[in-house]
Amino acid sequence: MNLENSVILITGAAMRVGKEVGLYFASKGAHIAFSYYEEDEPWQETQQEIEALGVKCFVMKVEIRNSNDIKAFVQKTKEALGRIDVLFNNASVWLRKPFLDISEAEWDLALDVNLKGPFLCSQAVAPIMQAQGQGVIINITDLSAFQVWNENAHHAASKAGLVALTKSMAFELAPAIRVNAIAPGTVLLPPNASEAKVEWAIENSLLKRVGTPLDVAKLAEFLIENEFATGAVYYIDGGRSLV
Amino acid sequence: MDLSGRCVLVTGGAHRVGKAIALKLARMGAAQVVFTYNSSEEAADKTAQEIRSLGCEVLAIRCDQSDIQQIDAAIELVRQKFGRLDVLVNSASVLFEAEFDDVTAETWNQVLNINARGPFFFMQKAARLMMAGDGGVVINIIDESVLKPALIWVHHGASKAALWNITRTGAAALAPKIRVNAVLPGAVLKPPDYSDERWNGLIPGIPLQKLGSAEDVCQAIEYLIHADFVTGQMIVVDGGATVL
Repeated sequence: MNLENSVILITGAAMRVGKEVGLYFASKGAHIAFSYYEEDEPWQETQQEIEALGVKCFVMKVEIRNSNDIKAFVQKTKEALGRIDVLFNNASVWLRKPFLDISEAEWDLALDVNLKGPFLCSQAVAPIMQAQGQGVIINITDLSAFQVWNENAHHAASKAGLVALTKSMAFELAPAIRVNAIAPGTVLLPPNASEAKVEWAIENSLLKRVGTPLDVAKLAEFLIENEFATGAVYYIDGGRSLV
Repeated sequence: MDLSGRCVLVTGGAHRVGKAIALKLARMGAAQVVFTYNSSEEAADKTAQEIRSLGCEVLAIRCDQSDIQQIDAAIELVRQKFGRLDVLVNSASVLFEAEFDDVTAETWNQVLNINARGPFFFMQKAARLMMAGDGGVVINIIDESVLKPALIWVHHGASKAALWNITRTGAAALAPKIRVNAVLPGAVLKPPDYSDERWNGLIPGIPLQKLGSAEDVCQAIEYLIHADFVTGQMIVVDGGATVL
C-alpha cells in the first residue's frame, strides 16, 4: 500500500508519539484523522501542523472506552476523508501500582483503554477496509507484554492481550486486512523525566541510546508498504528486550 | 545506515533470494557488493554482471561455508580488496528433507555446519573488520522452522533456531557498534525441487491466501539497514503463516 493520498486514522495523536507519527505520514502525502481525549491537549496546533503539510486532517474528541464515540469517530472520518486505509491504535494509558494495591477501577481503566479501545476501533474500521478490499491495522503494544516490569501487572496484561488480539485479527481479517503490532522500547521520555531516568534508559539498551518517535513512524511505514507482513510483533527498542 | 560508499557482503548471493538481496543493496547505493557462492559458477557470473551494470564494484567469491578456512579466506579477500565491510547478510543455506528417524550424523553435521556454524563464523570474522571501521549491520535469514516444528526437516529447524539464538547473542556481544537482526520469510520463492502443485499447495496455510516474493524480503532488509534503533530482533514476512 502506498502512503500518498491514503487515509490514516490514529487514536490519541494530539501529542507525543501519535503526533509525530501523524506528521510523518502527512509528510508522505497521507490524509490524517486523529482523536484526542483531554480538552487541554494541544490538538488544534497538531491539526494546523498536519494541514500545513498540504493534506487534510480530521480531528475529534473521543473517549476510547466508549463504543458510541468510536463509531461516530470512524463514521465521521469516512464522511470527511472518503475512506480509511490504515488504523493506528496508539491511544494508551500507563498506570503503575503494586499488584496488591490495584483497584478494580484501575484494572478496568488499563484494560479498557489499552485493549478494549483497540478492539472497538478495529471492529468499527474493519468493515470499511473490507469493503475497500484492503487495509492495514497497527497496534502499539510494548515490551511489558513480554517481560516483567515491577508494579505493572494491569498494564502488562493489557499489552499482552493486545498481542493476542493482533494475531487473532490477523487471522480472521485476512486476506483483505493485515494486522501487526509494534513494541517500542524507550522512544520518547516523559517531559519531566529525571536525568537518572534518562541515564537508566540509555544504559538499559544495547545500542546505548533512546529512540525517537520517527523510529516508530518508519517501522509503521514498512508495515504499511510490505504486502506480506501480517500477524507479527515488531520490536523497536534499541535491544532493551535483550538486556 | 546510508549505503553510499559502503561495502556489503551477501553469502549465497548468486541466485534466488540471496541474489535479489545483493541486487537490492546495489540499488540502495552500495559502492562494493561482494557475494559468495558454492557451486553455481554460471549463476555467479551472471549475477556479477547484473550488479556491475548498476554501477557497483563486484567481487564474487567461491566459498563452501561448511569449511571455516574458506570463510576466513573470503573475509580476508574482502579486507585486502576493499579494506572495509559495513553490511553482512547471511543468506546462504541448504534445505534437505529427511524424516525424523532418517536423519544421519552426516546430514545433521552438513546442515548445522552450513546453516548455523557458517553464519556464526562469517559474523565473527566480519565483525572484526566492521569494528575496525564505523561498525556495521548484520542480517541473518532464518525461516518459519524457528517458530513451527516441521517433521520433514528437524535438522534444518535446529540449524535455523541456532541462527536465531546466534542473532540475539550476537546483537548483545557486538552492540553498540554493530546491529544484528534476522528476517523470517515465509513462502517467498519456489524451491527448485518443488512442483507447481506442491508450491501452490502452501497457499491454504497462509492467512493472506497468497505466496510472497523475494521483494518482500528485500523490503525487510532495506528497513533493517536504515533502522538504527533495532537490534536483536526478527522481522517476520510470512503472510501470517506463523500465527497458526
